[in-house]
Amino acid sequence: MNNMFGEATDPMPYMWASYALGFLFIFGYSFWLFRGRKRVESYLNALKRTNSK
Amino acid sequence: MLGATACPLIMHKAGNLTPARLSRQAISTGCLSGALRQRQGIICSATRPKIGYIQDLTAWDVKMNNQLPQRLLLVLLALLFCQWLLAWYWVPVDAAQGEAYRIIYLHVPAAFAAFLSAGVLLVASIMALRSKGEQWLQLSRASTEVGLIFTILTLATGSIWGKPIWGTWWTWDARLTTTFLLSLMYGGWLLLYGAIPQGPSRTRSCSILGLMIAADVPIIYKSVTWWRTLHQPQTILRSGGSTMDPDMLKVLLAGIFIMAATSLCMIFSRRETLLLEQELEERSLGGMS
Repeated sequence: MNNMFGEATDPMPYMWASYALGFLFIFGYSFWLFRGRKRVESYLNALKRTNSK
Repeated sequence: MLGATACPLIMHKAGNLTPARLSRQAISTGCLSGALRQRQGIICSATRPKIGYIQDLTAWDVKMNNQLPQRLLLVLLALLFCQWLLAWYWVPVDAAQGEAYRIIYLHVPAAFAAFLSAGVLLVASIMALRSKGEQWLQLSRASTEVGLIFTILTLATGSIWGKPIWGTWWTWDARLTTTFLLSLMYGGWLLLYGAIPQGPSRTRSCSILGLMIAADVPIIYKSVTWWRTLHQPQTILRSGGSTMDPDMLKVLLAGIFIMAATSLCMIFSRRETLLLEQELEERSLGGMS
């Protein structure tokens, strides 16, 4: 494939790089959200267990 | 240092939850302010041997059970991956751009998600200014974080797409510059939030900046018609209908819908966690008074 200046380029690495970045951002942020929520819950549960003793 | 490590009574009362573990949990939570940590040090003095001052934990249980945004998010992530599979293997190749055009199925939905986050930020900022409520500010914060993620993703994928098509990673084109400005303002919002202590001043300042961020979105959208740009003009929402192939358009619209729903779920999931963290902190500190 040629770009607008007539230079030959292989587009596949660009496409996969984009999706790799998308995967990293979207799934990475989602994982971070789940982890953050779990940590808050575990902290609250720890407080509750301590409180009930 | 967290005071629980120095409290033998806690060690005795907490059973299998050792103080060291409690400390690690509290520190690793990363959500508790230094003030709360200091307070916990005081709580563990001889006058307050138990963390028994926290009341009404049942109300928190109700909030903790509100996991709908997270469950929906899991479903939407699976759907998003399916849409990507369609974009890679099902839709036909573009005659002019070849395989590189498939970046559109990530780039455009990410841009729409960033705009939607700005829309949520607009509503939350207006409500925060009206009601002075901290809850709306937390919604603003969640939408800003998500908006920043999607704006950076839009810029990065656009830059990667630009290299094989335009022959350059970046150009100070009107669309690119206004989108870059959006990412800077999202980042600035988070810095501003962290720089001002909790109170009416923070709510007002952040809300005004939130309104400015939302005002940038129509400028980005119309930039390709207002100025001569390298970026292509509007493809989907244009008078006379879209010029795209119907199969391509279907997958793109599905991607926009899924990514928009994903961003909303991220925002509300993050808001739930932020509110829980804040309430935990406030109630803990309130219990000392």
